[in-house]
This record gives sequence, structure tokens and C-alpha cells, in this order.
Amino acid sequence: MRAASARLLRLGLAFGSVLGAYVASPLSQWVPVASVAAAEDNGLGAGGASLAYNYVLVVAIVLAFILGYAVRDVLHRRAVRSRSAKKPTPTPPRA
Amino acid sequence: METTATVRTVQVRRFWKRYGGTILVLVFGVAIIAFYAYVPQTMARNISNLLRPYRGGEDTDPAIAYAGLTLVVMAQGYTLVKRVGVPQYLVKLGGSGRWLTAHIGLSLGGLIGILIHAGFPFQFPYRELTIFGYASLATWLLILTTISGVFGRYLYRHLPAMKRAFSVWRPMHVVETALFFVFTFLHIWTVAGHSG
Repeated sequence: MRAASARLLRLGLAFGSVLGAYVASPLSQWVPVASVAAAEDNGLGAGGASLAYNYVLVVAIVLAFILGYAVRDVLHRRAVRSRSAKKPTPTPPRA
Repeated sequence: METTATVRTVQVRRFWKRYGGTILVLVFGVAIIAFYAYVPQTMARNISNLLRPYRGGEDTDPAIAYAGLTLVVMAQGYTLVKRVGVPQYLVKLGGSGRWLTAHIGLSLGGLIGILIHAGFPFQFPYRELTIFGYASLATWLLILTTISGVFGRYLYRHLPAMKRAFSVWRPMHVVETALFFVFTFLHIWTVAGHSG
């Protein structure tokens, strides 16, 4: 139970750090110059383009964490299964 | 006499618990087909006009699309809870059943928002899959994922012949969801950055 809480807490901390680093980095301010005009053509505007890029990147980070957690769990379960499927080593006969 | 009534109530309750979801799914399915088949043209036009401000395209507010996608992303939290790995902790979090209900509710809410943004039911470019950065393809994938989710939750359990297919169903559902996100990102990226 405590291990599960710790695992979720670790995941939350890692996610918070990555998200904080993204928000603090210049990447969160980045909008390609060429895309502003195109975004206005599509009815979004420069603010809309910035929002769209940031939204995609933040959601991608969230999904990457969820996917990473799921893959880690699957690999862990597989490892446990294969370990338990292994036959125990035979004990040497008593003399 | 009273005992017979109680037994019947219990039987009805058990029947509804077992088949309620399936019955609702079938009723909704028939209602959707009937809606498309018999809705008069004036009503279709009125619905299209009513939903126009929320549809994707020029001078429209994409808030409903963002809200819809956010709900779908939040629904993926179910994956995290399901994989906590400690049954007692899962019970403490409310049990996987409650989280599955939340997953379904959030996904359906998101689906409605995204369908309105996509121009459903009468302004959706059904066959033009690649326009606006694969917008239609992403919507089709969301519909497919929803149908697959409904099948997994409400139908497969009651069809013994389908039980064997369940091992294939779950990875399929995951792949469909992943593809939906890939094409949705492509759509947002394209609309924000490039024309067409």
C-alpha cells in the first residue's frame, strides 16, 4: 500500500518537474513565425496558434507519462510471471 | 405472496444489472439510426445552424474542441489507477469499477464536444479524411474507439462466443486510442501552423 502511494507520488513529482521545466523553458513561448499568418487564415490568430502548440505539447507530456507508467507496469508483470514460471533448482540429494 | 413479489423484484434487479447496459446500447443505436433515416430537412438545417458557432473552421471558437479533448485526456487517468498494482490501494481509491465509470463518462463527454466541433451530425466531411490535417480521420478514430469501448464494457461479457476475442480487443482499444491522439495532434499542429 505504501509502495503504491510512493510510486504514484514519484510519478506526480516527475510529471510536475517535467511540466515545470517545460513552462520555464523558451519552448513554451515558441510559435513559428510562418504559422502566425496561417493560423489567422484558419481563424485562430497568433494567440490561438501559441495556445494550440502549448496544448499539444502539454497533452503529449501527460500522455507520455501515462504510457510510460503502463509500459513499465506491463514489463514488471511480465518479469514477475517469467520469474515465477521458472522451475526451482533441484536440491542435491542428501548423502 | 409478499415473498413472490420480493423474488420477482430481485430477479428484475438482477436482470437489469446484467443486461441494462446492453439494452441501453441497443436502444441508443436504434435511436441514432432512426435519427439519420427519418429527420426532416428543415430540422437538419436548424440543427446545423444551431451548432455552427461551435464547429471548426473560420471565425469559430475552438473552446469546445479543447474542452472535449481535455475530457478524453482526463479519461486516460483510469489507466494509471488500474495499474497501481496494490488491490487495497485500489479499493482506497474507490475501486476500479468507479474509475471505469468515470472513464466512460469523461470519454462520452469528450466525444460529444469533439463531434460538435467536427460538424456532426450533418456538416461532417465523412469521406474527406485528410482535410484540416486529418481532422475527419481523427474523428472517425474517436468514434471507432468509443464503439470498441462500448463493445468491451457492455457486450462482450454477455456473448460467450466473443470471450475468446477479448484478448485481442484490449490491445486494439489501446492502439485505436493512441492513433486517435496521434492524428488529433497532427490536426491541431496543422491548423495552428499551416493552411489546409
